Amino acid sequence: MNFHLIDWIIVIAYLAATMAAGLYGKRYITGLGDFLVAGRKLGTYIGIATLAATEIGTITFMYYAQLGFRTGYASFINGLIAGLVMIFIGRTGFLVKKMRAMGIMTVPEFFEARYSRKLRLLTGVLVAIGGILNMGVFLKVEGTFLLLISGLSREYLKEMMTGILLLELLYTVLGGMVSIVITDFIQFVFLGIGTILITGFTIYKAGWEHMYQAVLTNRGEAGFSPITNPDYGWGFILFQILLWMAVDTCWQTTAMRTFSTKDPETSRKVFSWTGFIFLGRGMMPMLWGIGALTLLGPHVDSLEAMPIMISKILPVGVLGLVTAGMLAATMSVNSSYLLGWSSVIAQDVIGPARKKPMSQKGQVRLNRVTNLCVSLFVLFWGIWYTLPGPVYYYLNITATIFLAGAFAAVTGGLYWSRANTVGGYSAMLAGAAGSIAFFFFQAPLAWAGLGSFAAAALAMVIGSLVGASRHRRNG
Amino acid sequence: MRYSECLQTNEFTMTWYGFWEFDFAVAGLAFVFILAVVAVRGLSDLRQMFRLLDQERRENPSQENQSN
Repeated sequence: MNFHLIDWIIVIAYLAATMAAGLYGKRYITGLGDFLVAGRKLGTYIGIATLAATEIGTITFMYYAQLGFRTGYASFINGLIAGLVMIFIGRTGFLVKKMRAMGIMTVPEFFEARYSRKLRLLTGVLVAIGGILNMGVFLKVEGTFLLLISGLSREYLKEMMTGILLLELLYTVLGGMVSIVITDFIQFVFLGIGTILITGFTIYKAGWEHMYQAVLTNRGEAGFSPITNPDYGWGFILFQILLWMAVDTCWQTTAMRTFSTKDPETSRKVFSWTGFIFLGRGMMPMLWGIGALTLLGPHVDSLEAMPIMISKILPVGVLGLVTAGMLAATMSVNSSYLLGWSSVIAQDVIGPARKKPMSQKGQVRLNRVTNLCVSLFVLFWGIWYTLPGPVYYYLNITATIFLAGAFAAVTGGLYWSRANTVGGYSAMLAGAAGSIAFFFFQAPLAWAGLGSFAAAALAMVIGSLVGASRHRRNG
Repeated sequence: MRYSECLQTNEFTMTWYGFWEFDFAVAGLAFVFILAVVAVRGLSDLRQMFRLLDQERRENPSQENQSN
């Protein structure tokens, strides 16, 4: 057992405080707008906290550390792209400013406003499939992390997964976005402190020069250059730029933050500042992976190396504090993802398919029920599914199922007057093709991903032109 | 291999290493700075959000709120 009494006390006290804060949010829920987008009352700083906390979880630390362990400093390219793309979007307001101005609550809603109700339904289905499959591995990875860091037996993995799920479910179902915003703020501060502490201890224990030498010895030149590293290369870099553009604008959990800000200008500011956070969000855990390579050697499981290292280098008390930070990260991400994907099912799949519109109370109830259903799926998927490779690649390709098509359709819909419903359908279906190639034909990630984005963009243009000419003939 | 020897042996690798060291320093400092700013000013944002939600609830006690 790595945990001492003081570590357990810190973790339990933290959990109790977060639960209380989360449940406090319930009193502010009077309608669907409060439940899903916190009544659109988010200011800049709380917007940064909630966007950063949503996209920084134990899962993030685990997959980035795994990349650091496997590919050394070359992995930093992933953090650099994620940060720079977000700063670019913040500075230019590309897509986010116009989407916020539309006053929508979910990404598929855009498809009804700009294209058609049926396309919204198709998008809702693809968004839900991609998003829920994506989230499907979270609990297992997070449970593994917590078991390794605390020193509990691996036999308790299922219990740990269930425990994490129940905690976040409790306040997400009751308090919706208001609770998530409150807890995100606390969690952002905790996980930020935890991130800085681990980075400091990693550098102190592994040594800056030793980390350089470990990468050079074990990974060679490929451990420094993302161009020559066989895991990356130009194709991968281009795919990452497109993917992050799509994640920042069309990924439901990120988009919900855009929709929750009080005005379009605030959403732009939130993105600019969070972009800088995203640089550290990537590079710091990658450095932990390099630290684990230095301290443990190259023969440890790449995913487990980082938590094993943390459990060895952190002193009593700090370990509890850091674990509380990691739990904070876990719960902020999972609760937002639960709310994000279940809201898509409720708002964009079940809602539009019903003949009679639902009351707001009915919609909140439906969102809570879909929350529970998604949770159960995620739990069972996590228990039974075995990852085929690095976690990051799995997450990339499941996200691409809908992101490639959604990005083409949203960009076309906002910036190209000739974009139409035929183009929208074509983009969504063609965009999902790359993921199918990856899963069923083992196509390389970079080319499957790039292919998806290229096919979706091409399908958007050709489909819109064909749709326009058919419309002219009929009209 | 010693650090000073590495510096001389592989210029290509060292160029990349220098680039990543710089990026890491920028990323780390930005993270600490924004964390500190958000921790302080986010609290007042949070209070304002509660105030606005409370105000809305008082103005429409029986009516469910509509989002714009």
